[in-house]
Amino acid sequence: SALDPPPLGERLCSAEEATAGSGTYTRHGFIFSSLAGCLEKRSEDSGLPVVSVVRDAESQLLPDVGAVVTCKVCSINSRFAKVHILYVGSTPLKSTFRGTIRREDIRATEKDKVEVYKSFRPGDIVLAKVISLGDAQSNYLLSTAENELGVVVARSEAGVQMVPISWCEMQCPRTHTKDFRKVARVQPQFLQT
Amino acid sequence: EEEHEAAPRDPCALRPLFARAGLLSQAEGSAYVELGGGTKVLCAAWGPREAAEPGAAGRLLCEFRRAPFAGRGARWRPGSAAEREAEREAASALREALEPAVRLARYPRARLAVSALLLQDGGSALAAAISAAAMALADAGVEMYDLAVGCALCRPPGPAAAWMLQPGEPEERSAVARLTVALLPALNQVSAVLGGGQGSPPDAWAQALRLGLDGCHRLYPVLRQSLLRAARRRDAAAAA
Repeated sequence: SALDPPPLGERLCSAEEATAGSGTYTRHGFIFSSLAGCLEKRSEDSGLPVVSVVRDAESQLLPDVGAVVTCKVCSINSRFAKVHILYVGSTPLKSTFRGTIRREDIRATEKDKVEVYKSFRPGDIVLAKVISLGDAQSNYLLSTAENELGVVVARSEAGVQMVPISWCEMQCPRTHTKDFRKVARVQPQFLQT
Repeated sequence: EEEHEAAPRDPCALRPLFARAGLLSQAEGSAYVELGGGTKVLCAAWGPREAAEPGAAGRLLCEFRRAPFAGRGARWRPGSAAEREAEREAASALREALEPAVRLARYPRARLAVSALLLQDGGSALAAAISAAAMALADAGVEMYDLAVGCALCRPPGPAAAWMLQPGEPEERSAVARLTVALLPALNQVSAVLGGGQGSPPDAWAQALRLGLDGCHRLYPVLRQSLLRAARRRDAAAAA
């Protein structure tokens, strides 16, 4: 590009001319860059433009509270399911983070009647939302208590990928057996036909 | 190199510095720093990974290794306790100098790792390692407040001896006091003052500190420029 990327620690502008976006920090009333990347200036309708510095590879993404993540279930018991977080949004993580989906966070309604064994199984791919970063002892806390969250890919005992038939059931296309899962209602534009 | 009485050198002279970032393909970020006269440090850095004991903010793990061929003559038996102890001390010094520069609050529950390998010790090795490690972290895309620049000083024996910037290996060995300072130049904040020794009045130490910080300010543009070149190389490789 014609402009050089701003070096790390470069003073970009005064804090009165713009607001600090990602990759920047404010000190002594000025905005400095905290990444060696490309400068972006987006003008917001309300108020000051937002100045941010981005690097091409979003490799430093971490699951944040409220982010929708794609994870794989590794083990279940009667109180929670343990998962490995693979993607944050649509960017893959370079190393997996561990997460936990508690029994009371699987569904929004009738939380006490939930059975983890009938919602997830090991090996399922699940869309979940991060509700808490957790403390020193626990992993990321995730929730599937929305219609759009839940199991997206699951394999039956025969090893075939199952087809969802309702919000709580999936069917194997070969053996026609039905299995219970907490199924995600994926938006039509994300389905491949 | 001759060990005879060298002509008195300019105490404020900086050794020529060569720095290059983004040279290792396996690590997310890397940097190589070489000081004229034979100090070579290679450093690699990795971005956020899941931490074994997660805390509210991220953790920075530093490692310092000295190659077996780094020193002239046999200093320690390789793998001896003394060598491991010295490496551990250098690693914790590295961490002390780098932690204030990294925005750890942006990486909750994650760990960032930095590993420095001293290929050849020609004096001022810790200072070169601090600069290389900061460059490697920046090259890995870790958010930092500023680059940490390291500069070493030493004071030779003698009542009227003056502090010298960036000593070579023989000067460092015969010195009575050694100091390594690490500075965040854009913010003008000192991140570490390491070292010690004997035989100086207090204001001489303050003068030594000022000399070291001045050296850091002079080294800063070189390191920044090499990071910029690495960014341009990365952009060109991505576009191709």
